[in-house]
Amino acid sequence: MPEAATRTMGAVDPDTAGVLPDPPDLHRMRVERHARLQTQLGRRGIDAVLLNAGGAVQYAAGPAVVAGDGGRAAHRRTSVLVVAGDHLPHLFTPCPEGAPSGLDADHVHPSLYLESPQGAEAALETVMDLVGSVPARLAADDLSAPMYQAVTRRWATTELVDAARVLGPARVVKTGDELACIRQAQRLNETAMYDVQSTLVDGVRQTDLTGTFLRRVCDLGADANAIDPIWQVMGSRRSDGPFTTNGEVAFPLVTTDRVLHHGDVVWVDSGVQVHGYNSDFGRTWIVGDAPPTAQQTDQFHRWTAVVEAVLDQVRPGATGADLTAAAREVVGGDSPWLSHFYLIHGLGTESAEAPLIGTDAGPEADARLVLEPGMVLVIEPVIWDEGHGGYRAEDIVAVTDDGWVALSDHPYHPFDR
Amino acid sequence: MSPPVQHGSVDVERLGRDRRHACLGAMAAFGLDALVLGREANARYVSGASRLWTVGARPFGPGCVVVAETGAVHLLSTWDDGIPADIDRRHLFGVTWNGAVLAANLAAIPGLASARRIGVDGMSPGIAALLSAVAPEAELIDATGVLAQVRQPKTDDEVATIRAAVGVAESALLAGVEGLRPGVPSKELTGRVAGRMAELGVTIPDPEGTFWTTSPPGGPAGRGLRRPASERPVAGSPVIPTRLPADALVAAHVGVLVDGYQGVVARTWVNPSTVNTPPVVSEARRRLQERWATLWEELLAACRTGATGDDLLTAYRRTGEPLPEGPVAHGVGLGMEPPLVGAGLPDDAGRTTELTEGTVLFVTGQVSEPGVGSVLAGDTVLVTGGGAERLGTLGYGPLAGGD
Repeated sequence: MPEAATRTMGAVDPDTAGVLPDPPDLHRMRVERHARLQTQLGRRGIDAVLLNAGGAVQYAAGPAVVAGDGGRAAHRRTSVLVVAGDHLPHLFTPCPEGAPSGLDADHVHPSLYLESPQGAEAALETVMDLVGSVPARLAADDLSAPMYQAVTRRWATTELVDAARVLGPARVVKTGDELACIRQAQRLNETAMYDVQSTLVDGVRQTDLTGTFLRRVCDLGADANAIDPIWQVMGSRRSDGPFTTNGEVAFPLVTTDRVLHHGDVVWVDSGVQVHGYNSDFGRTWIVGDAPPTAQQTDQFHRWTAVVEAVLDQVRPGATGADLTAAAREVVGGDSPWLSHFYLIHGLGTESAEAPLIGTDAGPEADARLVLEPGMVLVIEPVIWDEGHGGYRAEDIVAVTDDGWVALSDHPYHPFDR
Repeated sequence: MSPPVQHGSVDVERLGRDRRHACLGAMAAFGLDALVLGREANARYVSGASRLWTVGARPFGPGCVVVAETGAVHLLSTWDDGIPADIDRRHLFGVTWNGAVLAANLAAIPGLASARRIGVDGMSPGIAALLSAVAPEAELIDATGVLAQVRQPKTDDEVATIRAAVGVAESALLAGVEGLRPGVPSKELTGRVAGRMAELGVTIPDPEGTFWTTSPPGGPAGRGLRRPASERPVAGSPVIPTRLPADALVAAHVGVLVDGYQGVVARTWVNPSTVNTPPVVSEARRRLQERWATLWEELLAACRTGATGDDLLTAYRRTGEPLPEGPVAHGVGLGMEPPLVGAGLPDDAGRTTELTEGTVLFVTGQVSEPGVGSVLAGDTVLVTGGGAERLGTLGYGPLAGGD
């Protein structure tokens, strides 16, 4: 894909035909993911991994679920147990009709209830039955407190391992089908945003924008909305926003029914899910289609320059430190991103996952991170001029054999006219 | 910024004070030196904080710490937006991607490092290791039951907020069923629900508006709540059509969170046979609706002070209606909470729980007839000495002779 490396983000359709499967082959994707989890279990001598967090469950099994709040997810759990050596994952779900095709009926079970001592005891029995014995090493992500207490008391010899050790290496590099799912989710999100931006006029409420967005993503067939969409009005100084622990620009703040006014600068952030994969849409908008000031336009140009400098470095073998250095150089040495987040994060069944680049884990962590084909990079620099506000947007690429290919494709209106 | 919907009688500061007082009282009663909370609802209960909502189950993380000795609430938040004014700014700790920084942030919380009994509402192997380094003397105690007990009886402020949430949920459900027509994609109705919610200033669904037919041709009746639209069945499961057929019985399940508090409603409507014609209710469906009404009366009577969750199951037994899949009742507060009662749930999920004054439940009645389908409907109700008080006003639709 030699042409990919020279493509300007968003300027043309990121025609990935021939690069990514279209549509994704969901069965093949699940088979390949399961194989990766099995490889990690075998490599680390782990008997089984029990997964309860939404993104992990999507990766390990990919069931259709009803979207809701965390409390509902805890009491009406969808869980997955992957046993070393098994040809399929075990899915525990309140919605058996949402089990993916290809999952045998003997691998689909009723929901585990992990919020009470009796429920946790029963879950332990179930895990033991399916593993064949008390596991010597059990990986897990989110154990309920009753489950944690039951495991540590009843299975005193079991070594508990964080599921990240299995999941992390399995999912940091995506298969082509996974990339195609992310691209589908992103296109859906971007399509809905055309409708939302067309309603961005004086007097509209933040929640009105949310309503337009949610209706549209449902009509377009998203499986779920992943995050309460953000339409944050940005001031010109940090002190215009709330107190922060790090002195940084406060973002993202929770949406309310605040009324927006002509000329307000709005930082937009949203994410939806398709086949369990997240989109991540980030742009800066101006209410009422007001033309950007010269300063705002300059901020956008600097943001673009940072992204282009980063993309110039993106290829297999480059390190996270190469990317942060390229970004800093454009703006004269400062770090052009929010210090509580990152310059770059990955994207998959989590809305932010590895690789994370530019975090407070420090420059050593960035230097250790080596790009590989199939990694997803959400690049989200922030240009902030104290007294004049700032520009923020996000674009998404996947690392290819010799560069990158765009997974996002959306204009930067009104900055790019 | 104004509150999203009108619930004028609520004193937010009093609500926050009452909750924190109840939580600290329970910590003293159970000898907990500290709480380390990962569940957003528990964190919100004790802190009042409104933080960014994300869908579904998150991995456990220490998002809120309460120390008995100081009575202080410490929150994971990089800013004070959405954080009540009575929480000291110095008690906020920022987002971090560095385990050592997180450990240092926790270690800096006065009273945590020396705690001997730390109540938790979830755990992961990684955080367990981190906590044992921060508080080496501490035993991690399952605080799930304690917190559920504290949260179960609702104050008047809480009931008023839930009532407002139910109003939003009912209005949103109506917006959904107003979109019924032969072949309508169920997701389109989900979108209509979300649109109405947002018009009313509410953006958090729980559950998202869910619509499915309970009279699938050839499919079994008796399926419970919450069926996702799906064309990916396992062997033996019915296909749940993503488009709702003409003349089908359509179940709708809609919930919202308003200021964190839940309102839920479920109804069964009838899809019209053709566009712009009123739905036709057959005699068989009318009889099914009458059976539902009989069951419903029993269920509401069972929601009285001093009863237990088991009395709801008795209502099903007494009317001869088989239990549907999943819970027939769950607690309603800061989202779904105990008690949960129904098929496939352990007894200690709620069957043995006493329904005390101020308990709020979402109760569903469901009746099924082979060849006809299922009628299910449910309401958010307040447990009182005289039985259930409905917190909503929505009628039961065309099956019950309504619009």
